[in-house]
Amino acid sequence: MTSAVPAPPRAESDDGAAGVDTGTDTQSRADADADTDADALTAAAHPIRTGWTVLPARMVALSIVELQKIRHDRSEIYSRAVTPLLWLAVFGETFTRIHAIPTGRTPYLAYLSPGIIAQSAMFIAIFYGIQIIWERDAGVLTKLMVTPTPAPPSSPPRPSPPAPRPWSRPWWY
Amino acid sequence: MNASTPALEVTGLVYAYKQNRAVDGIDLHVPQGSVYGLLGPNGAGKTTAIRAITTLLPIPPGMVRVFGRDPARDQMGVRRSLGYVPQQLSADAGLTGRENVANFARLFDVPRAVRAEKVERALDAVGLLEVADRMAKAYSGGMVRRLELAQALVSSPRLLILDEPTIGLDPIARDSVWRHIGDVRAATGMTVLVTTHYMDEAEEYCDQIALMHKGRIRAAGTPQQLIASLPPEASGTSLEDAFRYYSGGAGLEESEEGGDFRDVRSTRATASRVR
Repeated sequence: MTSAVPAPPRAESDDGAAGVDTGTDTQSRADADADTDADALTAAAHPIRTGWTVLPARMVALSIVELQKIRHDRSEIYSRAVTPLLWLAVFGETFTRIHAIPTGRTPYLAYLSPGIIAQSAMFIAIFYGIQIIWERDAGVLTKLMVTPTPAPPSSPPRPSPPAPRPWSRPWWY
Repeated sequence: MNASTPALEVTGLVYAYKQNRAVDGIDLHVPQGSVYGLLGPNGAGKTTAIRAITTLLPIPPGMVRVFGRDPARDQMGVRRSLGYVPQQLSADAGLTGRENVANFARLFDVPRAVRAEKVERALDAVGLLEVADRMAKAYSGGMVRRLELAQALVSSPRLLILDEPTIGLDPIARDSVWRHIGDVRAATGMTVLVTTHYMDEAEEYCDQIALMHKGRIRAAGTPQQLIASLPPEASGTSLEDAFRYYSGGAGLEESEEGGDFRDVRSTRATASRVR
């Protein structure tokens, strides 16, 4: 109920879903109002970004946030840089001495470096992925989701799985 | 813009989590420029209603209108007119107050030419201008809440939605948050939709109140009207009495504590972070 006057408590009844269907009058009136109000909103405080530029602009904005965080706490840069160097120094040097993998004329460090760099990039990506879960818990993500930031395009719909076969019949049969 | 268009109009909003109907057909009419309180015990459906209004939950068209716009059809348009402060802490502790606000200005496309000025104004409106360049992790609980308010204000929203903005704060910080909300509202005339568990706050600061229980609105009106509507046997003289009456049924013995494990965890986590 939306009356401005207080109403007595309603008894528990099964009419809770009565309002699911909205009346046609309400719909058409609201649609008419929306046209005029939409103009007013668009003409609000500042011009509004639309079209394909929205998503790149948001990506830049969120990247700036991460860069600002790194600027305030540089220990993360150092720890990320030290890890691959340690890998190269410890494993690189060790494996060079024992010649565990034949690399021909390629120096062992050169052979190992692309893998170490890829591994470091993967670890950083995993770390930032976990951080998004933390941000969801903390409420940061909730607030971001109420900004005019479009969600990335969803993945294409997957085909529905095949119907299960009878238990007595193996899947290859 | 038509001044008679309500800031928010909700018609028969229903939302269910599997078998549980968290919101069970609520209607709301929030006039422009008012402070509207959505009250109810834990698990009443307040936060679900707020999440539906703020486009965080998928709802069918026609149930919600924000300044005439339907979130189901024009999600981005609705988001541009909203300022939202969620129940959980949403300020980034690893940034300064100014950066926190500037980032939201960037996300709302505030042009670079006026961005710095708008950020200053938002911080000034909540009394944080002098400490704007301090890291947010050094702020007190009340200051963090005010910072979140500044984040929501920097885009000049027309509807400000606050989900339990004073949870976990001491009385002085609560007063400070509400004073700043009142100042901003007086200066801009924006509409405020707020949920709270503190009846004294609701009675003092809200123009209109809707009392929710078990997903439905049990009563709506001004705080005085709600108190006056209590039957003689309820013998109530305060909004808290009205809250108990409408959310507890005929008597206290029939009431039940609401909320689930997730609610409690979320509330306690927020309270512990602002301490």
